Amino acid sequence: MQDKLVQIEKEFEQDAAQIASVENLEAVRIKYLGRKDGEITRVFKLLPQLAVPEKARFGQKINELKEKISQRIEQKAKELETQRKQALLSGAAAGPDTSLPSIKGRIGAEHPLAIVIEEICGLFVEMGFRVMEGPEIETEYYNFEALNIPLEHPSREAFDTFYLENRCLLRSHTSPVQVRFMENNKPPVQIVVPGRVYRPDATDASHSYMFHQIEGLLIDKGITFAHLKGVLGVFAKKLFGEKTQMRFRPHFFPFTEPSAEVDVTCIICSGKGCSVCKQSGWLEILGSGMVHPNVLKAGGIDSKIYSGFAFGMGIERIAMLKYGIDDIRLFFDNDIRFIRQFS
Amino acid sequence: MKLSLNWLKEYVDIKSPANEIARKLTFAGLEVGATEKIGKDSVFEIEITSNRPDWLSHIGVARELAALYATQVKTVRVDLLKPKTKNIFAFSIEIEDRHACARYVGRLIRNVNIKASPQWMAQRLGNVGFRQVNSGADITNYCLYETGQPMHAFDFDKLEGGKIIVRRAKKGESIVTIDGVKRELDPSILVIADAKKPVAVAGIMGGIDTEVTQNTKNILLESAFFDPVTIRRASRKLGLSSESNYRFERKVDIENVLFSSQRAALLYKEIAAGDISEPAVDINYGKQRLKTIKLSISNISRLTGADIPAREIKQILTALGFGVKAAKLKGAFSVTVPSFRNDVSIEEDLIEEVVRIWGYHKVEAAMPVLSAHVEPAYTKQYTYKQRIRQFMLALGLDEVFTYSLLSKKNLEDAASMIDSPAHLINPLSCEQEYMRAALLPSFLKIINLNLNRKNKDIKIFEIGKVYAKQTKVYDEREMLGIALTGNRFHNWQDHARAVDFYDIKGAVELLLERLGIEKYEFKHSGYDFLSAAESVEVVMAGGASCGWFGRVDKKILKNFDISTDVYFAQLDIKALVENIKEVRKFTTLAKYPSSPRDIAIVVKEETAAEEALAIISEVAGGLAAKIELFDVYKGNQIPADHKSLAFSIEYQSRESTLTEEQINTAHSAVQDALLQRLEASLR
Repeated sequence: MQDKLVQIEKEFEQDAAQIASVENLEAVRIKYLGRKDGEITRVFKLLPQLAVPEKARFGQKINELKEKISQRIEQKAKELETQRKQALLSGAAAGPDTSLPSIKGRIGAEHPLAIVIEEICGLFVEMGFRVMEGPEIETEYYNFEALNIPLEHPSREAFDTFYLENRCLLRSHTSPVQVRFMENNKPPVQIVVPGRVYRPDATDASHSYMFHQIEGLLIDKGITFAHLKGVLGVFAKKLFGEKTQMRFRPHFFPFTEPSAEVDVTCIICSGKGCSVCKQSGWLEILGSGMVHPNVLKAGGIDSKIYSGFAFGMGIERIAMLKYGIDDIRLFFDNDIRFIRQFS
Repeated sequence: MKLSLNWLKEYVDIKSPANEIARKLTFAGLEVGATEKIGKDSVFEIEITSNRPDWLSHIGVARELAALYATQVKTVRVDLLKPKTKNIFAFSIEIEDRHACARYVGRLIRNVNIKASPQWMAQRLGNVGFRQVNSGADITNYCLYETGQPMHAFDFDKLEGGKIIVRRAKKGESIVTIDGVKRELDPSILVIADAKKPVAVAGIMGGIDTEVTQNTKNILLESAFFDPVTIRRASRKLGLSSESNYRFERKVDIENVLFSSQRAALLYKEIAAGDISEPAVDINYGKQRLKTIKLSISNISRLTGADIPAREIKQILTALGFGVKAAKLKGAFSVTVPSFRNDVSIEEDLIEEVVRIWGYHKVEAAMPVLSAHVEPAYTKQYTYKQRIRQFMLALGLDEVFTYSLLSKKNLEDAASMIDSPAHLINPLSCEQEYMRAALLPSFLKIINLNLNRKNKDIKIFEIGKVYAKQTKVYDEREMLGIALTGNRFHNWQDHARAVDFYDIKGAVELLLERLGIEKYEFKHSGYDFLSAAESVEVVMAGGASCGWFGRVDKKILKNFDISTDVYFAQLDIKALVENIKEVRKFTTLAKYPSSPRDIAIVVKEETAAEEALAIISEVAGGLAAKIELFDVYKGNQIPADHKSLAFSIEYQSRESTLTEEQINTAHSAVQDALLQRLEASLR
């Protein structure tokens, strides 16, 4: 029996020295420690043939050997594991190809115009504005007359219009919502209005007969032009960056008095001058002004008590500047390769 | 409009460099687009807003510069000699339509010698973009750019009967204008006529027959005030525009009519050696008192937030040509509006004038103090629209923005034409003549474009409007459109499989679930644009439809040149929002274990899976915690016209752990019911 055990141990040491892989190790483990037919199990099976004192002595010896082999195997396993890690790290061994493309579902892409509309509305909501919408098919009254644009006046040329029957039309700006809202809400009024507008412009890289605007209106007691500058200043810094400067140029809009066009420092060249800003360093992005008393009147608001400002901007233009898009038609082609660039 | 700096300097003393002047003008509302250096002159290209016809002249812009440089414009003197003859005229003027022509000054200039204009005049006109003609025409152009008043010179000897009649054209009359085009006239058009025929389209363009030429001896010079609307309509009707009607439409200064005539007369004398000794005929129906507006200093700061000293207010308005007096009320001015400022009618207009010249940049920005909100920032519909967009994005759909105007053909091709569509009276082209009554044609166009560009696997959505004409008004409704074509999501592990009906059904179902719409039914429907077999109406509790989904009919797809299957849904946003159940309640989580049992049955082909699911749910009662159809099979071992449906049912009780016996009893009941009621057999 003693010889047998010595023999097993010797053989095991020889085998153990040969182990080079996890597979070898497993084979060796099964050869010696396998439950059914391992060397250790086999010698255990010889025990009943021995006399009682021998039984106890060899029983213990076999257990010692089993323990020894187990430890060696465990140690060998650790060695192999360390070797493998080192091999993987040094590049000597290959694991699964982690460079294969990942398995990921797809989250859809938002349309760039939707991104810009949501961002701008969000900025104004932070400042306390509410988001309102209105109809695209409007009446002449809301689109023109209520906004102090007389029917037969050259100022209407800036708002060329698509007509439907019954003197209905496709709104040429989002401003009709100003009067619609004032009619049903008492001041303070503080709204932004995103929406689709239409003008019969022949389509080219910078014109589309359908486009989007965001309109803003704030009316309360004591609202001044200084407040218009304040609110739009905060907006421009939030949208285009902290360093953005603004300048206000007098302009004419029938529905505001005084009126101003608003430029921001060119977001492409930061005001140094480039082809986008035609070397001026400035980009025109907004029309604005103090709401004309006739418009307040149309909305049922007394201009002796209340004053307010309004502003409007074209979303396509801002999106084109923001993303460096050079053709407005891309927004409406809806090539999915285009849409997927912005999310 | 082009303005010459040297010319401007004739009316105002300024020495600043051109670029500084350009900047000042821009920040006063005269946006200088470009400054061109021509010899020693600088020419500004200025965008002039429609409210300021007075800026369409050098004197008008000089006035602006005077205000910006705190000085005054120089007066242009027109000292004519007293006429020799008194009230003896060689011609007569009749105005038949006083509304359309409120003032007409006619003047006879005799013995002119028409030749090329002198160098200085040719130079100025050239710099601002006029082609030189001859002194006869150049002088009126020069005055146009100097004073802003359009004038017309007739060859007097070609006017029949020595008469000028301002009247409406008669039906059937025509005129050949100086551009050589014959124009048919009608009574909506105002003309200048001689005793026999129209000799000019009033305020727009003269006739070729009475045009001043090198041979002209005597000139009848017209300076008039025409009604803006009349001129505008005629210009539109004839499709004819000129520098003249551009100004008349914007309303010329009625008080400037005589002055300009005198100015031109002096030039004819100086340049064309004309005899201007005969008196002018001045018919004026438009005499009016100048407006006076009260301007209170406190209102300036109330509207602008800026404190501008009274002295500066007075200086600015005076330089701009307003009459400024202290009003009775303290802290206010009484301001008289000059006749050339028709755009100024209320106090706010004056405030703009003051702040504009004072400088918008000097108004210090401030944040308003606002009352707290009580109303939500977003309307319910807007909030849910955003939520729906997020669901769609999460489903992997890309968002599109499609045109709402389509051609009649687009609508018909998609079987989406309705009885009363909204259509444009003045479309740009027939491609954009109709407002869509459904999203389908817009989407098919997008899919076609993408497929042509080899973009496959298109899954898109849009929340957009559809339109229809009602009896008197128009209706517009917001719709969610979803379109799927090509393959489902795939990769190197999960291989490509085409989308099918169940994908669009899934998208709709998920949306309804996530919105919290619990009660709805999918009913078979029969839309022309969907395949007869795969066409479903989404019906809300109460029976109202909120949209439909299914497979787009092959014929429709062919019209849009699409050869892959397209699955499409259109759901009414408002109807969805109205059916949302906003309150959700918690249900206690089940404590006891569940046991799964499977059952596979063979049923007739036409048996709807829904029927089997309903039976299981009814018979198992509260014990079936989850019922799942996990396999549908046709083919080998299944009789023809039959199919196998396999269900997995999880039995679970909320009161106790179910015993083997309880589960078996429940499951046998389910099995018996399925076999009996569906005439099914076990597989």
